Amino acid sequence: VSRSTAASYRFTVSVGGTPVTFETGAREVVEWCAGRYAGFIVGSDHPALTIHVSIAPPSRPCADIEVRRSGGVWRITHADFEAELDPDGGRGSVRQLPGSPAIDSVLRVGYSLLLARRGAFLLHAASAVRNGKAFVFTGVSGAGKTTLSRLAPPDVSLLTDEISYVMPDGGGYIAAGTPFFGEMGRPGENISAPINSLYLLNKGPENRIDEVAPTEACQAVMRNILFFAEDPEPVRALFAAACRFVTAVPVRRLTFRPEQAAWDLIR
Amino acid sequence: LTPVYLARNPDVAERPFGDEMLVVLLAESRLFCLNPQAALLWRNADGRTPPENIVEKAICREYEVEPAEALADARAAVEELAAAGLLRLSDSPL
Repeated sequence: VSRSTAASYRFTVSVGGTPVTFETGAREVVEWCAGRYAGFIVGSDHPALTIHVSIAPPSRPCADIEVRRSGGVWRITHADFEAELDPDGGRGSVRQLPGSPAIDSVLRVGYSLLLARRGAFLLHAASAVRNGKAFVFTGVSGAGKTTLSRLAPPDVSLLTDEISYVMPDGGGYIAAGTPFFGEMGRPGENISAPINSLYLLNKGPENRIDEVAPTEACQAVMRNILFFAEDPEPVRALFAAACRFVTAVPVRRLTFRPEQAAWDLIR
Repeated sequence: LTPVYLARNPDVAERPFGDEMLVVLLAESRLFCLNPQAALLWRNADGRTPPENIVEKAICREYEVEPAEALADARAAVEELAAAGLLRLSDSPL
């Protein structure tokens, strides 16, 4: 964290090698991010996005998070914050109430916008690295992402139990660790590896892996990609990205009992 | 039977997977998976060819089914696709 002026702090969070810089005059924002994004704070002179954060009440608070696009600017509103992101211009701003975890929501939206331009995406999924290969486990809440993550043996490095970072790399894809966590309550490791498989998760009476038809695989990916708007062009781009992903990466169904032996199938 | 002509909604993105077809209705961000017969209807919904002809020329040849049975299935599929907003129907060529 650098203090660029008497009242301004500047620090950069980098997920998957994509740096996002925050500027703020609020010490509490720096401290919150230092705890939340430990392991993901880096030095960077060339951020993909620079976001100014101020402590102030939102002008139009709303109960549920809303994301709307006007031209190239995305506006995010919520009960305790409002934000604007301009990915083309590389700028953004957040007004948040004191103590709000707004930055985490804004960062997720920001990354989803930045990644969409590269055929990459954030996926509602746990992911982990074993033997130099990444395995991604997607499913709705309750499908077992955190359960499977908690059961991981010592030779497994967890990338996240909640939001996976997936990006194309040559003819395949890589998964990178993220600081976005679920019930595990801690960030993933800031490492990446080529994706070996995507598993559609569900709990069951036995541990088994079944093949999945490409259409089902693509539907599952589309359901679980994080994106917050319904504009036709971004939806078209996400669909193309999901189709490319399921043709490049094996997709299977993992049914598992909540026991560490489930990991015997993941190698 | 009143002649019905079928045309694809142009505001979609589509991707074939084998005989099946995934279609996204872009404005609503809704994803549909068309089975092989529905995918054939979709591919041939050019606004000029009535479903009877699609059934005769595409579905019956591909799947060796009786025309009457195939036509009944096709009518049901057309209704579903139209209700979903994927197909536009007209009693004259589109």
